[in-house]
Amino acid sequence: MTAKLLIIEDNEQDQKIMKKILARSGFEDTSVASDGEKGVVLAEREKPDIILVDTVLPGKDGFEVCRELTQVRKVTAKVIMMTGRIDAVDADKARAMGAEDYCVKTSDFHALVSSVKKIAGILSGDNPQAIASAEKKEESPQLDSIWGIKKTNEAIRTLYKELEKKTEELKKLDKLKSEFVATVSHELRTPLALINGAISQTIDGVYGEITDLQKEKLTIAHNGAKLLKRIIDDLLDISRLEAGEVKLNKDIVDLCLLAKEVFDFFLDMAKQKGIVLKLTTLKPAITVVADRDRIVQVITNLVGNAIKFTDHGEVEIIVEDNEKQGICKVRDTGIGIAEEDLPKVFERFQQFGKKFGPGQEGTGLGLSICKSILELHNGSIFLQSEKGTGTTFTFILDKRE
Amino acid sequence: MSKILVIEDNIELSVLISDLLKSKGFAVVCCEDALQGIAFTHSQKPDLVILDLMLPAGGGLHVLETVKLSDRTKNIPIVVLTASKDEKHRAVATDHGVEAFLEKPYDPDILIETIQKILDHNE
Repeated sequence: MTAKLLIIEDNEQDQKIMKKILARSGFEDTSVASDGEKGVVLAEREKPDIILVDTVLPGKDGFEVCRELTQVRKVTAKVIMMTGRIDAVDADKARAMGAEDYCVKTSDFHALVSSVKKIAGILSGDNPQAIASAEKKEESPQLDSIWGIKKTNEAIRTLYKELEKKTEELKKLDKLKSEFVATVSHELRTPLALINGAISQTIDGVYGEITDLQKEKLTIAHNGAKLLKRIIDDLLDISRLEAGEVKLNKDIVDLCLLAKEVFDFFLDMAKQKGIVLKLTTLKPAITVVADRDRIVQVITNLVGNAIKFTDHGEVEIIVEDNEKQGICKVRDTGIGIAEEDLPKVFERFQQFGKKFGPGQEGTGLGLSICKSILELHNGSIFLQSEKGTGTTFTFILDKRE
Repeated sequence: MSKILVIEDNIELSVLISDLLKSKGFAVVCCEDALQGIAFTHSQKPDLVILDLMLPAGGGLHVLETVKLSDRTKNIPIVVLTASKDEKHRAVATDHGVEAFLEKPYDPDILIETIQKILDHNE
């Protein structure tokens, strides 16, 4: 948008600067007059769209000129009065004289250019909003950055509120998921009790003698029921652990004692399989802060796995420490885990290696549960393995809270 | 011969448990709800009660409290059977002095073993 301008200004320097600044803003068709009389003549001849009149002029002052232009000569042009003074009296007077706007002359003529643009915009039919936003952009650099910061702060506040809302939603969903798993696990147990009870009791001869073949087949069903129970138990466990619903009963416990307990439990099983089970404690007692039952659960899981995956050689439970931590390792000479499978080891429902006989199947959740338990303790668990050579699982717990 | 009272709202499960107990030489009485269960502890004079803690409308807890509170019945040992793995329930049951707490699905061998141990101990 552009417009034809007339500047009535006696100061030559101001004339030059104004012309330049206005040209930069797209107003190149600008004539200049250095007093009121010449200005009126030019106004009638050139028919500018906008006339800028300085309040201080030789001869007739700017207000008089304004009145003459707008009320006597009745030019169609819009008049903008300019002044070096911010003075309410002048503004009102200018309006009374027929001026469209009234601007203070600053060194960059900022307000003036704004005003010209605004009026030119209205004249050319631009919508007020575009003018308003154009106006905003015209604000001085200082005003710009203050306005910018305000906008940014508003945006941040809005985002923060949204984030709070989303977090509440997620918490609700998490709780629903937890309740769902608990309900399902609960509901599955009674039908499972019926299946397990009926089959187990039939196998045991409660309902009379059964043939060997019948026993064999019923045992398949029985093992299925037992596996189902283990899966349901593990599912509920991992769900509660991950939802943070498990409260640890922390106490000062001796890792060596816990390891011994698990060692005693598996001794026969290892012997039956023909592998050696060892327990090596590097100190007579190594105490850590932990939930006793849960750590026994972890060691049991690791040793059980180790024995399962080892056909010959040994499984060794090692308990050692450093200044601040207790360390437990379960090392086996079993089939090992392939390198590409290592990252998945602690994920749910991952099972590697051979298929196992009836009654021995894992649920695929044991290691996920171990990981969750260690995380709850602010401890850690990791492994090393080489396919064909063996695997070593290590977990670490703090000696002090 | 010892008499066992089974309070369980799932009838088929009740029958299975009853089958098992009878095959081991126990006399068995069954009922499905809390109120009848409480009544039976008085009228049937059982030597042991197997109680489903999750009877409808908090019935399990009600039976527990009532039986353990009454002088006439508080010495009857109670074995709680439950589908719930909630630790709170286990704590409540222990607070009321149940003799044993078993989860569903029950292992028949373990159930018999538990009952036997309690009855031997009480003799």
